[in-house]
Amino acid sequence: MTKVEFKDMSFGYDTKIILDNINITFDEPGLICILGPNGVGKTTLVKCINKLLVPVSGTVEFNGKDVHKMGYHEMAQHLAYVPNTSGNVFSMSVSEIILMGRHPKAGWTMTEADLNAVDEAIEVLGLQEFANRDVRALSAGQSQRVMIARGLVQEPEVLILDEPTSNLDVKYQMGVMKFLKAYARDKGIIVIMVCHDLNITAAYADRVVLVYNKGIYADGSAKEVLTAENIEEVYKVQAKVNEVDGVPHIFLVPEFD
Amino acid sequence: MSKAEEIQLEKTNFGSTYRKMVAKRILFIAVCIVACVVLAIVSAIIGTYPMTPGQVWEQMAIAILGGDQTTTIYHVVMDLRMPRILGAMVCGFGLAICGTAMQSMLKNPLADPYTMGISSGAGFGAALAILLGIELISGGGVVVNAFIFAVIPAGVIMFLSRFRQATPTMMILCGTALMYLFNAITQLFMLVADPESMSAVYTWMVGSVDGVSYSDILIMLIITAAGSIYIQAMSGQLNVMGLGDDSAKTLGVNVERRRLIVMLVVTLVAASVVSFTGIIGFVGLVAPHIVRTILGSDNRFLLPAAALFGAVLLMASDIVARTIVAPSMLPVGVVTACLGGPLFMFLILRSSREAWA
Repeated sequence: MTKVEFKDMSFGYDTKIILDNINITFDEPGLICILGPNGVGKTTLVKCINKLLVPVSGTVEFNGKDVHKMGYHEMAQHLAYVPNTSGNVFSMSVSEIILMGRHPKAGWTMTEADLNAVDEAIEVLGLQEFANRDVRALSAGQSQRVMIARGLVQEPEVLILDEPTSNLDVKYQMGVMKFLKAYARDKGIIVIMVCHDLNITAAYADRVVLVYNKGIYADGSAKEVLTAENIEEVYKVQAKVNEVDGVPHIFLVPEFD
Repeated sequence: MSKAEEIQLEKTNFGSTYRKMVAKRILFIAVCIVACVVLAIVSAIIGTYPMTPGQVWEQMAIAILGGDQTTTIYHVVMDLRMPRILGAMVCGFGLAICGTAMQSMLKNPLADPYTMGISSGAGFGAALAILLGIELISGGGVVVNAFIFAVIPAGVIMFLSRFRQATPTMMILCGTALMYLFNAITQLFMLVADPESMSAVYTWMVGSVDGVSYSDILIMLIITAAGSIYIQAMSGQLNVMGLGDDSAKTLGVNVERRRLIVMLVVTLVAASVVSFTGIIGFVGLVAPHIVRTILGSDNRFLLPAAALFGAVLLMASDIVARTIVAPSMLPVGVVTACLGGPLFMFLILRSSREAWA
């Protein structure tokens, strides 16, 4: 069983501690959403899972092994990461960029399986019409779908996404969330994503982790975590939470002078 | 996505597209190899002492199998023309593969042995030997001085990377700063130099494959071949590094370590070439870009294709350099820029898509 475990992990820049003594375990397949206000350390938390950031103390373990003792190549066999932005300088087609997701598993030459994986990822993310287009010519939302596709062809046990829906319109936000939830369930993998939209998260997340004040403020199902009290305490905004078809629906109460 | 949209969007067949791309890239590489052979033959037969391909072949057979090696024609083919043909081939190949690797690794279209300070360092080392008679290793002369000073900018950049976590942008800015520093000091030396020494430095600075010996070529060839094999083996990792450091790490590449090793290798290759030929600019910068506009940016194919194209560009430039104002000769670096510049401009203007950001 795949397991990611933070053990007394703290992270900081210089002398400023961002995350303090984090203890949390991800061991159930499903879509896990990390929520919290800006600058609270959501991205920092997920970047500590795949060695992009080094904790100042404590450990992050993947299947019982400290990730900082794993090589990058070994780690890439199990964990994939979809960043928030891409920065290609040179021209490459969408298909070629997605194919790079096969790098940890492929050799110098690409097999039929590698090429088929690209076709499948293009199809599930609806990128057919852009497949041969220069990736730099795409909109931010289309680029995000390309990066998600690249993460999928890596065929990871843990897929980590940093705000993958931030540039998508509502239709694609819901489409991507629905897909990731089903993908996690069907493949039996852990999908951990940083997100901001409370209602989209409430609708699709199997588990919600609310980060606040250098630690994990709440952890559980959307119903347990996304309460009016928690939202008010963490985001400093007034909220009303109703249930619609069994899913919490958050209404943020506007304040006017 | 609506049902109607789902029906409209057919499944892609990337396998077919990919195989066509690979075939096109292999064809380009094959064309470059043929062009190298053709240019070698053309370069061997034309000049102030014209001859037929058969005569050239005879002299090569004499060199390999033995025979009368005292004839004028043997001297022209084997002592004058063949070394500069091979020199141009190895030098063009080496500079182009270095430029391609540097641009991909640093994600910067302007990276090449010149902008990274390698060529300027070599120029400074050569000026020290020619103008001041200073030899870092006794008897090493211009070549050893040029090599050692060519490696210094990369050493500084690698030191910064190791201890200050230098980003690709920091690395290229540091290289450019060192380029200006070395150029400025070299210019200062030239201001106080006597005309004869200044002319010698200037000739070295514009670069030439004239006078390169077989032993020089052997050294260049060994270092270039070994470096090229390593860089080619890393081509997949260079591709992934183009996605950004975070993405590359999570795709299995130890970015910092790989960048340092590739930097070291390309520096040794470029330094070995410019130490013997002087500063031949433009090939390392432009050959990768020209090939990128034709083949795309996949380094697995771009690296060998750009290297071979660099060899073609330099061999063609050398033919022009030694024939256009015969019996005098132009510096090959000048011709390379004059040939490559317009070709590059044409491709930029013709291309419907930019090959770089």
